[in-house]
Amino acid sequence: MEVLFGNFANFDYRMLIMWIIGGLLIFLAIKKEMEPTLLLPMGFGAIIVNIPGSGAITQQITDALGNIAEEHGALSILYDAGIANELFPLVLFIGIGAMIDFGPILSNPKLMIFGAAAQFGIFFTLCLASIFFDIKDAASIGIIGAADGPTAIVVAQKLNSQFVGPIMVAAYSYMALVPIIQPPVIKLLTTKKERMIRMPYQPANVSKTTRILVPIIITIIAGLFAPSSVSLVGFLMFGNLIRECGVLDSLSETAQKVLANLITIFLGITIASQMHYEQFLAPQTLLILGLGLFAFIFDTAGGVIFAKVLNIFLKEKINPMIGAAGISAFPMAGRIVHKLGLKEDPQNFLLMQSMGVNVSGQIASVIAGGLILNFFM
Amino acid sequence: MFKLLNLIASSIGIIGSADGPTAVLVSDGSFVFEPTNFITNLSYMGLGMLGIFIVIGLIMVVTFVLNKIFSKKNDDQ
Repeated sequence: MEVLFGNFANFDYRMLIMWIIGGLLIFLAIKKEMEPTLLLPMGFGAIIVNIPGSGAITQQITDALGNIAEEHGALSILYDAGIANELFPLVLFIGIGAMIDFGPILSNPKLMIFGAAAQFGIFFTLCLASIFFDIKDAASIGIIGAADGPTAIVVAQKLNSQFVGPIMVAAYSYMALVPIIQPPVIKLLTTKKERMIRMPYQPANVSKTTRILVPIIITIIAGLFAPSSVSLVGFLMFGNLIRECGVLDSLSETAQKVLANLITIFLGITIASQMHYEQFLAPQTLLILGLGLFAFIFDTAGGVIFAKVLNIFLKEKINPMIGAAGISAFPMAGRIVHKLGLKEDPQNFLLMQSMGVNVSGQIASVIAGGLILNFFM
Repeated sequence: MFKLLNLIASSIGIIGSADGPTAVLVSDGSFVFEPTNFITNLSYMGLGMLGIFIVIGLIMVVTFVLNKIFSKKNDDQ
Protein backbone atom coordinates (compact mmCIF):
# COMPACT_ATOMS: atom_id res chain seq x y z
CA MET A 1 0.00 0.00 0.00
CA GLU A 2 2.94 2.28 0.69
CA VAL A 3 3.94 1.94 -2.94
CA LEU A 4 0.53 3.33 -3.95
CA PHE A 5 0.06 6.04 -1.34
CA GLY A 6 3.59 6.75 -0.10
CA ASN A 7 4.00 9.83 -2.28
CA PHE A 8 1.02 11.57 -0.64
CA ALA A 9 3.15 12.06 2.45
CA ASN A 10 5.38 14.36 0.39
CA PHE A 11 2.52 16.72 -0.35
CA ASP A 12 3.00 20.34 0.82
CA TYR A 13 0.15 22.88 0.98
CA ARG A 14 2.30 25.26 -1.06
CA MET A 15 2.04 22.84 -3.99
CA LEU A 16 -1.70 23.42 -3.94
CA ILE A 17 -1.12 27.19 -4.10
CA MET A 18 1.05 26.66 -7.18
CA TRP A 19 -1.66 24.48 -8.76
CA ILE A 20 -4.07 27.38 -8.27
CA ILE A 21 -1.58 29.83 -9.82
CA GLY A 22 -1.06 27.43 -12.74
CA GLY A 23 -4.81 27.12 -13.13
CA LEU A 24 -5.16 30.89 -13.10
CA LEU A 25 -2.59 31.24 -15.90
CA ILE A 26 -4.44 28.59 -17.93
CA PHE A 27 -7.75 30.39 -17.30
CA LEU A 28 -6.30 33.72 -18.43
CA ALA A 29 -4.86 32.05 -21.53
CA ILE A 30 -8.03 30.24 -22.61
CA LYS A 31 -10.93 32.33 -21.33
CA LYS A 32 -9.39 35.80 -21.64
CA GLU A 33 -7.06 34.90 -24.54
CA MET A 34 -4.14 36.64 -22.85
CA GLU A 35 -0.86 35.54 -24.46
CA PRO A 36 -2.12 31.95 -24.68
CA THR A 37 1.01 30.76 -26.49
CA LEU A 38 2.97 31.29 -23.30
CA LEU A 39 0.61 31.49 -20.38
CA LEU A 40 -0.97 28.11 -21.11
CA PRO A 41 2.29 26.11 -21.23
CA MET A 42 3.57 28.04 -18.20
CA GLY A 43 0.38 27.38 -16.28
CA PHE A 44 0.39 23.68 -17.07
CA GLY A 45 4.09 23.44 -16.34
CA ALA A 46 3.57 25.11 -12.95
CA ILE A 47 1.16 22.33 -12.06
CA ILE A 48 3.33 19.41 -13.15
CA VAL A 49 6.51 20.63 -11.43
CA ASN A 50 4.61 21.02 -8.17
CA ILE A 51 3.40 17.46 -7.94
CA PRO A 52 5.25 15.66 -5.10
CA GLY A 53 8.33 13.85 -6.40
CA SER A 54 7.59 15.14 -9.89
CA GLY A 55 9.62 13.28 -12.49
CA ALA A 56 9.41 16.35 -14.74
CA ILE A 57 12.23 18.05 -12.84
CA THR A 58 15.53 16.71 -11.55
CA GLN A 59 15.08 15.24 -8.08
CA GLN A 60 17.31 13.70 -5.46
CA ILE A 61 15.95 10.22 -4.76
CA THR A 62 16.88 8.24 -1.66
CA ASP A 63 16.46 4.50 -2.07
CA ALA A 64 15.67 1.92 0.67
CA LEU A 65 19.40 1.53 1.43
CA GLY A 66 19.84 5.27 1.97
CA ASN A 67 21.75 5.84 -1.27
CA ILE A 68 21.05 9.17 -2.92
CA ALA A 69 20.65 9.22 -6.67
CA GLU A 70 19.70 11.98 -9.04
CA GLU A 71 16.75 11.41 -11.31
CA HIS A 72 16.83 13.72 -14.30
CA GLY A 73 13.56 15.32 -15.28
CA ALA A 74 12.66 16.32 -18.83
CA LEU A 75 11.95 19.94 -17.97
CA SER A 76 15.28 20.30 -16.19
CA ILE A 77 17.05 18.81 -19.20
CA LEU A 78 15.21 21.21 -21.52
CA TYR A 79 16.02 24.11 -19.19
CA ASP A 80 19.74 23.30 -19.24
CA ALA A 81 19.64 22.77 -23.00
CA GLY A 82 17.76 25.89 -23.98
CA ILE A 83 17.23 28.45 -21.24
CA ALA A 84 20.28 28.23 -18.99
CA ASN A 85 22.41 28.91 -22.08
CA GLU A 86 19.87 31.41 -23.53
CA LEU A 87 19.50 29.38 -26.72
CA PHE A 88 15.68 29.16 -26.90
CA PRO A 89 14.97 32.91 -26.53
CA LEU A 90 17.68 33.77 -29.04
CA VAL A 91 16.35 31.34 -31.65
CA LEU A 92 12.83 32.66 -30.97
CA PHE A 93 14.14 36.10 -31.83
CA ILE A 94 14.88 34.88 -35.36
CA GLY A 95 11.19 34.13 -35.74
CA ILE A 96 10.17 37.45 -34.20
CA GLY A 97 12.54 39.36 -36.48
CA ALA A 98 11.04 37.60 -39.48
CA MET A 99 7.54 38.66 -38.39
CA ILE A 100 8.29 42.38 -38.04
CA ASP A 101 7.80 44.78 -40.92
CA PHE A 102 10.18 47.72 -40.46
CA GLY A 103 8.44 49.67 -43.25
CA PRO A 104 6.42 52.08 -41.06
CA ILE A 105 9.47 53.11 -39.06
CA LEU A 106 11.85 53.27 -42.02
CA SER A 107 9.46 55.56 -43.87
CA ASN A 108 9.35 57.94 -40.89
CA PRO A 109 12.61 57.44 -38.95
CA LYS A 110 12.16 60.37 -36.58
CA LEU A 111 9.52 58.36 -34.71
CA MET A 112 12.29 56.00 -33.54
CA ILE A 113 13.10 58.46 -30.77
CA PHE A 114 9.90 57.51 -28.95
CA GLY A 115 11.00 53.90 -28.85
CA ALA A 116 14.08 55.07 -26.97
CA ALA A 117 12.09 57.24 -24.54
CA ALA A 118 9.73 54.42 -23.66
CA GLN A 119 12.58 52.36 -22.14
CA PHE A 120 12.69 54.77 -19.18
CA GLY A 121 10.78 52.31 -16.99
CA ILE A 122 13.58 49.73 -17.25
CA PHE A 123 16.18 51.96 -15.65
CA PHE A 124 13.84 53.62 -13.19
CA THR A 125 12.75 50.21 -11.95
CA LEU A 126 16.39 49.14 -11.74
CA CYS A 127 17.01 52.01 -9.30
CA LEU A 128 13.82 51.23 -7.36
CA ALA A 129 14.56 47.50 -7.19
CA SER A 130 18.09 48.16 -5.94
CA ILE A 131 16.50 49.32 -2.68
CA PHE A 132 15.47 45.72 -2.03
CA PHE A 133 17.81 43.52 -4.11
CA ASP A 134 21.44 43.37 -5.05
CA ILE A 135 22.29 45.26 -8.24
CA LYS A 136 22.33 42.29 -10.64
CA ASP A 137 18.96 41.06 -9.42
CA ALA A 138 17.66 44.65 -9.56
CA ALA A 139 18.84 44.94 -13.17
CA SER A 140 17.17 41.62 -14.04
CA ILE A 141 13.94 42.88 -12.48
CA GLY A 142 14.23 46.22 -14.30
CA ILE A 143 14.45 44.44 -17.65
CA ILE A 144 10.88 43.23 -17.14
CA GLY A 145 10.13 46.72 -18.44
CA ALA A 146 11.60 45.71 -21.78
CA ALA A 147 8.20 44.01 -22.28
CA ASP A 148 10.08 41.37 -24.20
CA GLY A 149 10.27 37.80 -22.99
CA PRO A 150 13.46 36.69 -24.74
CA THR A 151 15.35 39.82 -23.63
CA ALA A 152 14.19 39.34 -20.03
CA ILE A 153 15.26 35.68 -20.05
CA VAL A 154 18.67 36.35 -21.62
CA VAL A 155 19.51 39.23 -19.26
CA ALA A 156 18.31 37.40 -16.14
CA GLN A 157 20.27 34.28 -17.08
CA LYS A 158 23.48 36.12 -18.00
CA LEU A 159 23.36 38.07 -14.73
CA ASN A 160 22.77 34.79 -12.83
CA SER A 161 19.68 36.17 -11.18
CA GLN A 162 18.11 33.82 -8.66
CA PHE A 163 14.68 35.16 -9.58
CA VAL A 164 14.48 33.95 -13.17
CA GLY A 165 11.13 32.23 -12.59
CA PRO A 166 9.19 35.21 -11.19
CA ILE A 167 10.88 37.54 -13.68
CA MET A 168 9.74 35.43 -16.63
CA VAL A 169 6.23 35.05 -15.26
CA ALA A 170 6.03 38.80 -14.65
CA ALA A 171 7.38 39.69 -18.10
CA TYR A 172 4.97 37.48 -20.02
CA SER A 173 1.97 38.17 -17.80
CA TYR A 174 2.33 41.93 -18.01
CA MET A 175 2.84 41.77 -21.77
CA ALA A 176 -0.59 40.16 -21.89
CA LEU A 177 -1.96 42.85 -19.55
CA VAL A 178 -0.76 45.80 -21.63
CA PRO A 179 -4.35 46.56 -22.83
CA ILE A 180 -5.31 46.98 -19.17
CA ILE A 181 -2.17 48.71 -17.87
CA GLN A 182 -1.57 51.32 -20.57
CA PRO A 183 -4.90 53.13 -21.16
CA PRO A 184 -5.33 54.51 -17.62
CA VAL A 185 -1.71 55.74 -17.58
CA ILE A 186 -2.13 57.40 -20.98
CA LYS A 187 -5.39 59.09 -19.98
CA LEU A 188 -3.88 60.30 -16.72
CA LEU A 189 -0.98 61.99 -18.48
CA THR A 190 -2.79 63.51 -21.46
CA THR A 191 -5.69 65.87 -22.04
CA LYS A 192 -8.57 65.11 -24.40
CA LYS A 193 -7.29 67.83 -26.73
CA GLU A 194 -3.87 66.17 -26.87
CA ARG A 195 -5.38 62.75 -27.55
CA MET A 196 -7.28 64.23 -30.48
CA ILE A 197 -4.18 65.57 -32.23
CA ARG A 198 -4.11 64.23 -35.76
CA MET A 199 -0.91 63.08 -37.39
CA PRO A 200 -1.25 62.81 -41.16
CA TYR A 201 0.62 59.81 -42.53
CA GLN A 202 2.85 60.62 -45.46
CA PRO A 203 5.00 57.57 -46.02
CA ALA A 204 8.30 57.93 -47.80
CA ASN A 205 9.09 55.17 -50.26
CA VAL A 206 11.46 52.72 -48.68
CA SER A 207 13.64 50.91 -51.17
CA LYS A 208 14.44 47.24 -50.97
CA THR A 209 18.14 48.11 -50.61
CA THR A 210 17.37 50.15 -47.50
CA ARG A 211 15.29 47.33 -46.04
CA ILE A 212 18.22 44.94 -46.55
CA LEU A 213 20.93 47.25 -45.24
CA VAL A 214 19.09 48.45 -42.10
CA PRO A 215 19.17 45.17 -40.12
CA ILE A 216 22.88 44.74 -40.89
CA ILE A 217 23.72 48.29 -39.87
CA ILE A 218 21.59 48.16 -36.71
CA THR A 219 23.46 45.02 -35.60
CA ILE A 220 26.83 46.68 -36.16
CA ILE A 221 25.89 49.93 -34.37
CA ALA A 222 24.27 48.20 -31.40
CA GLY A 223 27.15 45.74 -31.17
CA LEU A 224 29.77 48.49 -31.10
CA PHE A 225 28.08 50.23 -28.17
CA ALA A 226 26.88 47.14 -26.32
CA PRO A 227 28.82 44.04 -27.42
CA SER A 228 26.83 41.86 -25.02
CA SER A 229 23.74 42.64 -27.07
CA VAL A 230 25.13 41.22 -30.33
CA SER A 231 23.41 37.87 -29.89
CA LEU A 232 20.07 39.50 -29.01
CA VAL A 233 20.13 42.21 -31.68
CA GLY A 234 21.89 39.99 -34.19
CA PHE A 235 19.36 37.17 -34.08
CA LEU A 236 16.45 39.63 -34.28
CA MET A 237 17.99 41.39 -37.26
CA PHE A 238 18.94 38.09 -38.90
CA GLY A 239 15.28 37.10 -38.82
CA ASN A 240 14.36 40.43 -40.39
CA LEU A 241 17.05 40.06 -43.06
CA ILE A 242 15.69 36.65 -44.02
CA ARG A 243 12.29 38.32 -44.47
CA GLU A 244 13.49 41.34 -46.44
CA CYS A 245 16.12 39.78 -48.74
CA GLY A 246 13.41 38.40 -51.02
CA VAL A 247 15.30 35.19 -51.90
CA LEU A 248 14.57 33.15 -48.79
CA ASP A 249 10.78 33.13 -48.69
CA SER A 250 10.57 29.53 -47.49
CA LEU A 251 13.07 30.20 -44.67
CA SER A 252 11.19 33.34 -43.72
CA GLU A 253 7.92 31.45 -43.56
CA THR A 254 9.53 28.66 -41.55
CA ALA A 255 11.04 31.16 -39.12
CA GLN A 256 7.75 33.02 -38.67
CA LYS A 257 5.60 29.96 -38.20
CA VAL A 258 7.22 26.60 -37.56
CA LEU A 259 10.36 27.76 -35.76
CA ALA A 260 8.59 30.38 -33.65
CA ASN A 261 5.82 27.97 -32.66
CA LEU A 262 8.23 25.12 -31.89
CA ILE A 263 10.45 27.22 -29.66
CA THR A 264 7.43 28.81 -27.99
CA ILE A 265 6.13 25.38 -27.00
CA PHE A 266 9.44 24.42 -25.42
CA LEU A 267 10.04 27.84 -23.89
CA GLY A 268 6.66 28.09 -22.22
CA ILE A 269 6.68 24.74 -20.51
CA THR A 270 10.39 24.88 -19.65
CA ILE A 271 10.07 28.25 -17.92
CA ALA A 272 7.75 26.46 -15.52
CA SER A 273 10.69 24.43 -14.20
CA GLN A 274 11.54 27.64 -12.30
CA MET A 275 8.10 27.74 -10.75
CA HIS A 276 8.67 25.15 -8.05
CA TYR A 277 6.98 26.37 -4.88
CA GLU A 278 10.25 26.58 -2.96
CA GLN A 279 11.60 29.13 -5.44
CA PHE A 280 8.38 30.86 -6.40
CA LEU A 281 6.41 31.30 -3.18
CA ALA A 282 8.63 33.79 -1.47
CA PRO A 283 7.93 37.40 -0.37
CA GLN A 284 10.40 38.50 -3.02
CA THR A 285 8.09 37.15 -5.75
CA LEU A 286 5.30 39.55 -4.80
CA LEU A 287 7.78 42.40 -4.71
CA ILE A 288 9.14 41.44 -8.14
CA LEU A 289 5.60 41.30 -9.57
CA GLY A 290 4.94 44.76 -8.13
CA LEU A 291 8.19 46.20 -9.47
CA GLY A 292 7.48 44.67 -12.88
CA LEU A 293 4.18 46.51 -12.97
CA PHE A 294 6.00 49.76 -12.11
CA ALA A 295 8.37 49.11 -15.00
CA PHE A 296 5.52 48.90 -17.49
CA ILE A 297 3.80 51.98 -16.04
CA PHE A 298 6.95 54.08 -16.16
CA ASP A 299 7.76 52.88 -19.67
CA THR A 300 4.37 54.17 -20.80
CA ALA A 301 4.77 57.39 -18.83
CA GLY A 302 8.30 57.94 -20.17
CA GLY A 303 7.18 57.73 -23.78
CA VAL A 304 4.12 59.95 -23.31
CA ILE A 305 5.91 62.62 -21.29
CA PHE A 306 8.77 62.72 -23.79
CA ALA A 307 6.27 63.41 -26.56
CA LYS A 308 4.61 66.15 -24.50
CA VAL A 309 8.00 67.79 -23.85
CA LEU A 310 8.84 67.66 -27.56
CA ASN A 311 5.51 69.31 -28.36
CA ILE A 312 6.65 72.40 -26.46
CA PHE A 313 9.23 72.97 -29.18
CA LEU A 314 7.38 71.70 -32.25
CA LYS A 315 5.08 73.71 -34.49
CA GLU A 316 3.41 70.58 -35.88
CA LYS A 317 2.29 68.81 -32.74
CA ILE A 318 2.67 65.10 -32.12
CA ASN A 319 -0.09 63.09 -30.53
CA PRO A 320 1.63 62.22 -27.21
CA MET A 321 -0.13 58.85 -27.04
CA ILE A 322 2.25 57.45 -29.64
CA GLY A 323 5.00 57.69 -27.03
CA ALA A 324 3.21 54.89 -25.17
CA ALA A 325 3.53 52.66 -28.24
CA GLY A 326 7.31 52.61 -27.71
CA ILE A 327 6.88 49.83 -25.18
CA SER A 328 8.12 46.65 -26.77
CA ALA A 329 4.87 44.66 -26.49
CA PHE A 330 4.50 44.21 -30.24
CA PRO A 331 1.96 44.64 -31.81
CA MET A 332 -0.38 45.19 -28.89
CA ALA A 333 0.95 48.56 -27.72
CA GLY A 334 0.62 50.03 -31.22
CA ARG A 335 -2.94 48.79 -31.58
CA ILE A 336 -3.94 50.15 -28.15
CA VAL A 337 -2.75 53.66 -29.04
CA HIS A 338 -4.57 53.49 -32.37
CA LYS A 339 -7.81 52.40 -30.64
CA LEU A 340 -7.53 55.18 -28.04
CA GLY A 341 -7.07 57.68 -30.85
CA LEU A 342 -10.17 56.41 -32.65
CA LYS A 343 -12.14 56.54 -29.42
CA GLU A 344 -11.46 60.28 -29.07
CA ASP A 345 -11.85 61.03 -32.78
CA PRO A 346 -13.20 58.37 -35.16
CA GLN A 347 -11.31 60.02 -38.03
CA ASN A 348 -7.93 59.98 -36.29
CA PHE A 349 -5.91 57.08 -37.71
CA LEU A 350 -2.70 56.65 -35.77
CA LEU A 351 -2.01 53.01 -36.67
CA MET A 352 0.98 53.45 -38.98
CA GLN A 353 2.70 55.92 -36.65
CA SER A 354 2.01 53.86 -33.54
CA MET A 355 3.16 50.62 -35.18
CA GLY A 356 6.33 52.36 -36.34
CA VAL A 357 7.04 53.50 -32.78
CA ASN A 358 6.18 50.00 -31.52
CA VAL A 359 8.79 48.48 -33.85
CA SER A 360 11.41 50.98 -32.73
CA GLY A 361 10.55 50.08 -29.14
CA GLN A 362 11.32 46.45 -29.94
CA ILE A 363 14.77 47.48 -31.15
CA ALA A 364 15.36 49.90 -28.28
CA SER A 365 14.39 47.32 -25.65
CA VAL A 366 16.97 44.88 -26.98
CA ILE A 367 19.60 47.63 -26.94
CA ALA A 368 18.59 48.45 -23.37
CA GLY A 369 19.12 44.80 -22.46
CA GLY A 370 22.54 44.90 -24.07
CA LEU A 371 23.50 48.07 -22.19
CA ILE A 372 22.43 46.51 -18.89
CA LEU A 373 24.61 43.48 -19.63
CA ASN A 374 27.45 45.87 -20.45
CA PHE A 375 27.08 47.61 -17.11
CA PHE A 376 26.88 44.55 -14.89
CA MET A 377 28.69 41.66 -16.54
CA MET B 1 3.63 30.33 8.39
CA PHE B 2 6.00 29.91 11.34
CA LYS B 3 8.95 30.77 9.10
CA LEU B 4 7.20 33.96 7.96
CA LEU B 5 6.41 35.03 11.53
CA ASN B 6 9.99 34.30 12.52
CA LEU B 7 11.21 36.41 9.62
CA ILE B 8 9.00 39.34 10.60
CA ALA B 9 10.03 39.08 14.25
CA SER B 10 13.74 39.02 13.48
CA SER B 11 13.29 41.89 11.03
CA ILE B 12 11.64 44.10 13.65
CA GLY B 13 14.39 43.22 16.07
CA ILE B 14 17.08 44.10 13.60
CA ILE B 15 15.49 47.48 12.85
CA GLY B 16 15.99 48.29 16.53
CA SER B 17 19.71 47.74 16.23
CA ALA B 18 20.21 49.53 12.89
CA ASP B 19 21.46 53.07 12.54
CA GLY B 20 19.42 55.91 11.02
CA PRO B 21 16.83 55.10 8.36
CA THR B 22 18.64 52.01 7.14
CA ALA B 23 17.02 48.75 8.04
CA VAL B 24 17.86 45.31 6.82
CA LEU B 25 15.14 42.78 6.23
CA VAL B 26 16.83 39.42 6.28
CA SER B 27 15.36 36.35 4.67
CA ASP B 28 17.85 34.18 2.82
CA GLY B 29 20.36 36.99 2.46
CA SER B 30 18.99 38.21 -0.86
CA PHE B 31 16.40 40.67 0.42
CA VAL B 32 17.57 43.99 1.84
CA PHE B 33 16.18 47.48 2.39
CA GLU B 34 18.67 50.19 1.41
CA PRO B 35 16.83 53.34 0.23
CA THR B 36 20.10 55.13 -0.49
CA ASN B 37 20.76 52.64 -3.29
CA PHE B 38 18.11 54.42 -5.36
CA ILE B 39 20.21 57.60 -5.44
CA THR B 40 23.48 55.71 -5.86
CA ASN B 41 22.19 53.86 -8.90
CA LEU B 42 20.65 56.85 -10.68
CA SER B 43 23.91 57.06 -12.64
CA TYR B 44 22.97 53.78 -14.36
CA MET B 45 19.66 55.33 -15.33
CA GLY B 46 21.41 58.35 -16.80
CA LEU B 47 23.98 56.28 -18.65
CA GLY B 48 21.43 53.78 -19.86
CA MET B 49 19.00 56.35 -21.27
CA LEU B 50 21.88 58.31 -22.81
CA GLY B 51 23.18 55.12 -24.40
CA ILE B 52 19.81 54.21 -25.87
CA PHE B 53 19.26 57.71 -27.26
CA ILE B 54 22.73 57.75 -28.82
CA VAL B 55 22.29 54.34 -30.46
CA ILE B 56 18.76 55.07 -31.67
CA GLY B 57 19.88 58.51 -32.82
CA LEU B 58 22.64 56.96 -34.91
CA ILE B 59 20.22 54.44 -36.39
CA MET B 60 17.85 57.30 -37.26
CA VAL B 61 20.62 59.22 -39.04
CA VAL B 62 21.71 56.14 -40.95
CA THR B 63 18.13 55.45 -41.98
CA PHE B 64 17.68 59.04 -43.21
CA VAL B 65 20.87 58.75 -45.25
CA LEU B 66 19.91 55.36 -46.69
CA ASN B 67 16.47 56.68 -47.65
CA LYS B 68 18.13 59.60 -49.43
CA ILE B 69 20.69 57.48 -51.27
CA PHE B 70 18.50 54.51 -52.10
CA SER B 71 15.19 56.17 -52.80
CA LYS B 72 12.77 54.09 -54.89
CA LYS B 73 13.48 56.32 -57.90
CA ASN B 74 17.20 55.47 -57.74
CA ASP B 75 16.37 51.80 -57.35
CA ASP B 76 14.19 51.89 -60.47
CA GLN B 77 17.07 53.53 -62.40
